[in-house]
Amino acid sequence: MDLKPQTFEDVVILSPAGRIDHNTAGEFQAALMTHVEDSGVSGTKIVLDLGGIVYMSSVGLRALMVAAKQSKEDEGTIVIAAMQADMKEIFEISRFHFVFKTFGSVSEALIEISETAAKAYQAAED
Amino acid sequence: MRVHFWGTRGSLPIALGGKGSRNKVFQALQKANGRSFADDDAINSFIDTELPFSVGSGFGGNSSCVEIDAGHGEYIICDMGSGLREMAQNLMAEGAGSTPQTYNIFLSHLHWDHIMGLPFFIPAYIPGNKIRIHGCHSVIEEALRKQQENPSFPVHFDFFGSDIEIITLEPEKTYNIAGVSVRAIKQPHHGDSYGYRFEDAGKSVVYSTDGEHKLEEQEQTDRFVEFYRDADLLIFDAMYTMAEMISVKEDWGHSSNIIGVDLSHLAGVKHYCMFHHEPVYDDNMLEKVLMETLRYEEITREGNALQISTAYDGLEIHV
Repeated sequence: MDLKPQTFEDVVILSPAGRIDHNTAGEFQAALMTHVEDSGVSGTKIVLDLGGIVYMSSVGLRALMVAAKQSKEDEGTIVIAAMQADMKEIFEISRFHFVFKTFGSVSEALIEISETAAKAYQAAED
Repeated sequence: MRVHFWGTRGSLPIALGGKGSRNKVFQALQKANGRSFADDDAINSFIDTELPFSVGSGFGGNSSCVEIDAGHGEYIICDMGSGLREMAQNLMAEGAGSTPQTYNIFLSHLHWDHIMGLPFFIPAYIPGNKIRIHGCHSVIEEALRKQQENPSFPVHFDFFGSDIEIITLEPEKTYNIAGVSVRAIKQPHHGDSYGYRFEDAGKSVVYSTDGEHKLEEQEQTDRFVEFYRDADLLIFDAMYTMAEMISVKEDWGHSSNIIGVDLSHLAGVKHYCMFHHEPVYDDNMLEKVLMETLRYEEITREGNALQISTAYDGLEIHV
């Protein structure tokens, strides 16, 4: 699965799209973990932009948890941004809002985790 | 088939307690908001139609015990949690003690909360009754005897007056017991547990508690999807939230409410009943979890709507 990675300074933004369910969760997890493992080595922080995700079932949530655990072990940073209303609800229902820091937009996430990346992102957007 | 839930709580029986009772009275009075009621019917109507279930009633606190009545004479009971004691009291009140009966009990596993009701099952003490305890573990009798040995319990297993037989079943093999087709499946749980699929007259009820469905391995997921396939009723271990299940309570042997939805969707289950409730959850929390689960199903649904309910002590479902 192509997560459309975009790097700004010390942050990589990953932007999966569509439905993460029984059929797609395996690909999503494999792609996500590649970036998580890379970030464990390079120290890059991850913003997972879920703006393009329609919904995520329990297998997708499990993939996120696997990523969170690995990131924690590596003392890395992975945050969630730009969830649509249904995804926000799924996060609350599954209590994943207690697992991840979530932000309303990618910009807000970047401002929180890396000032330099936020500036670079803003410049690219302008 | 008529399915009666005598015990629905996981791990440990609980009681509402004084604080919980007071909280319900408080919420009911708050809702009544000074209203006066003409008679008892008006009060009952207020309780039944205007109060949330969590306030006007409640989910109960007995541990796992579910009766399946297929109408063929012999009793079918899943697990012997503390709910079995309540079932026994009800049976005695209805006169079941006056004539010999056959009770077929299917054990998911031998953890304490699933066997603790046996010493309080009055029919087991009555000569003439037959108690057939079915399960897939090899140490059923040993476990049942142990819980009634000194110093844990004053009445020894040998004191039972009924004819007790332990019958070991093989998973994945179909049996005809008490007039219904029964098949067991091995589930991921400490020391293993087993789910049971009961079929009769074109209807199916699956009792599948104490299983940790991680959905990590496709083969394992497919195995359960096939076992649950087109079930009219799936009674499922929905003890935790998803985050709890796969973080702090990982490998504790239980599933989450939304895993049950996903498996039900994949298997084409008609009615998903959440079971084996977390003992720290109060009635308000269980009601909230039901609302959230309904919403999750709505968001993730691709076909027909799945009926979802939360089991409570005393609930009856007809399939």
